[in-house]
Amino acid sequence: MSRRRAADDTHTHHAEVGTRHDSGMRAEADPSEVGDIPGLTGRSRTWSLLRADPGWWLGITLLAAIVAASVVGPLLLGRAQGQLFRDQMPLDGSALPPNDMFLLGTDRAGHDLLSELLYAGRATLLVGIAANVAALALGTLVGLVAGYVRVARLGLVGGRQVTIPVEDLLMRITDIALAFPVLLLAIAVTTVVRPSLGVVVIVIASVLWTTTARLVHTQVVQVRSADFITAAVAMGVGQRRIIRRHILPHVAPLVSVLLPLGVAATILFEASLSYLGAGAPASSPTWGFMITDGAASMRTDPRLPLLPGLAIACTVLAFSLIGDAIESAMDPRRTVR
Amino acid sequence: MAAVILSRLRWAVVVLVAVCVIAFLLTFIVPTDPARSILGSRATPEALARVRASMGLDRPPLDQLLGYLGRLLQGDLGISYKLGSVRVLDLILAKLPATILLAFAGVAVGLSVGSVVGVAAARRPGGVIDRVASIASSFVVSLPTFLIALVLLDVFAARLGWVPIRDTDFDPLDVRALALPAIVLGLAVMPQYLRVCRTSMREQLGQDYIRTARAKGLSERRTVWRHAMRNALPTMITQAFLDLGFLLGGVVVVESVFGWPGIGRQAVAAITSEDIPVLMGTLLLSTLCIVLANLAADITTMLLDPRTQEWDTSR
Repeated sequence: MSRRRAADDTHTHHAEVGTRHDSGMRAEADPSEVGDIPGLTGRSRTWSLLRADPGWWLGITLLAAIVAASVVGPLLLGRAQGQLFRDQMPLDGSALPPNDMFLLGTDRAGHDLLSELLYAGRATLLVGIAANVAALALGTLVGLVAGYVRVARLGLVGGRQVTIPVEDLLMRITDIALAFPVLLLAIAVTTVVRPSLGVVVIVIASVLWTTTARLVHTQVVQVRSADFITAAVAMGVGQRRIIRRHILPHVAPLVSVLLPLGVAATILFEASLSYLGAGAPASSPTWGFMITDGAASMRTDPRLPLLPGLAIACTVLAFSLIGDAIESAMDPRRTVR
Repeated sequence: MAAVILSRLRWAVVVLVAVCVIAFLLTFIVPTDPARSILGSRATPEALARVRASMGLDRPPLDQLLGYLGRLLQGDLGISYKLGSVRVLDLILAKLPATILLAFAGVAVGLSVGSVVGVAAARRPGGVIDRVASIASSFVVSLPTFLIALVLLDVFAARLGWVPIRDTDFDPLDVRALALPAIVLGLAVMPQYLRVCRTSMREQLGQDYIRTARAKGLSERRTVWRHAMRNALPTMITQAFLDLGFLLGGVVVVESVFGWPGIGRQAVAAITSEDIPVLMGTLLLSTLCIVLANLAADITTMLLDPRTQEWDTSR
């Protein structure tokens, strides 16, 4: 490559940066932000990649269908949650197979299986989303602050200063929380406290934030020693701006992937809790509860454990597809077709 | 380096003590009376008082806590409420080997399958391996582990009779008995290794130094496994250590489904029967495993990634 050509490259590079940062902050030239698609960067680039991804549409459609069915379905069926149809049941104590009145049959106690599945969908989605949003918010905050702030100096009265090792403190608290055997602790708590959906959400959120905190922290640690941060600091860019323009863009993909994937993980975690008898209460069963309830009939009537299992699988799959699509759309090496 | 490890060790001790204190506080929150747990519901008040006094439960809480920590230092985890005068430590040590075996087998299955498939998927994004692996792992990861275990048990144990059925006494070293639990556990942890490996591998393969390595004529195998893998590895190792630490503390769900004689199932039974010392002992042991695993993960990351080392030694 001739020297002139190289000079041209540098020139166009700077010109592009100049147009992108009209505010005049030319110091913000960040190679990963410029990307390989002229005129298409950041959010609009992610959206156009998402729109072209069949996995994204499949996930969104599946999720919309499940949410709609759980919210509207019980209203259409018009059966109360937990309503029993004992008079319709066979005398030998087995469950009714699918028929005109019960589209998916009944369980052994005499509940309409379809109606119960839809009601359980509400509880499952509620627990999954609420617990995960709470866990993710807490985890991201802890990881970000720990990774970037590292040490805080507080001025005391009389001109003295205290140094607080923020990073060590936060990450060791995370370690303590991570070090607790999550499942055992959750079972122990839910056997003490009378279980309700709210308790389950709080228990799950308070044990699942740690993974996010650690992942975000690791990401920040890897980014903070990068040359472009050193350069930005050397050029006198303010802390807030460094966090917003340089650290957050590297954490955002991780968080936006963890959001849908975390819901998936939370739903599965609740199912495990249910299996061990420490999940949602019988008054508002989740799909995990229904699987556990029907597990004894695995040989004779596999419909009972497998249908709620299928419901969990579809929901978790929907969230995973969405997460995967976001992950690959934010991959800086992808190109728009 | 040594200074860093020493400071991490110091923190590990702090974490352990903190967890001991929290676990001890749990016994005050749990609304069960140890004396009643031991003697049963028809014990006389005098007998209850005598047992409380002999256990030191009539002393002030801080006294009890210090006594508890002191006994812990001597390796005394207390005595089971339910199983006569059996020491908790003996109960746990008896079940620990089965859990260790299962945890290592599971992580080995998951890590080996996950990393090999993950690298293959990252080398040709969108290729056949990538698609099949992604569909298969989406499927596996979408199902609750215990449901997979229940279905496999139904097929391979109940219908085909290839493996022993739950609740039978079996030798943990029997490969036939280990196979299903290890496969289920491996399946449960495999997708995340696959994902982590594929993601970090793709990230590495897009870097300039890979282009340099290819440009100077290195073989593709060497480029991928020596150059890219070395940078993709820290995240996977961290994950493996964390998993192992977590699993050694009791593979609760899988042990429960398969009736595997490990500490996880024992702890669940202890919760049900309100045998608090066994639960506390298991909590502490699990914590110890996780803390050590964290430490190991930190140290390996430092050894493998000079960037984190720089930052840590600058303290």
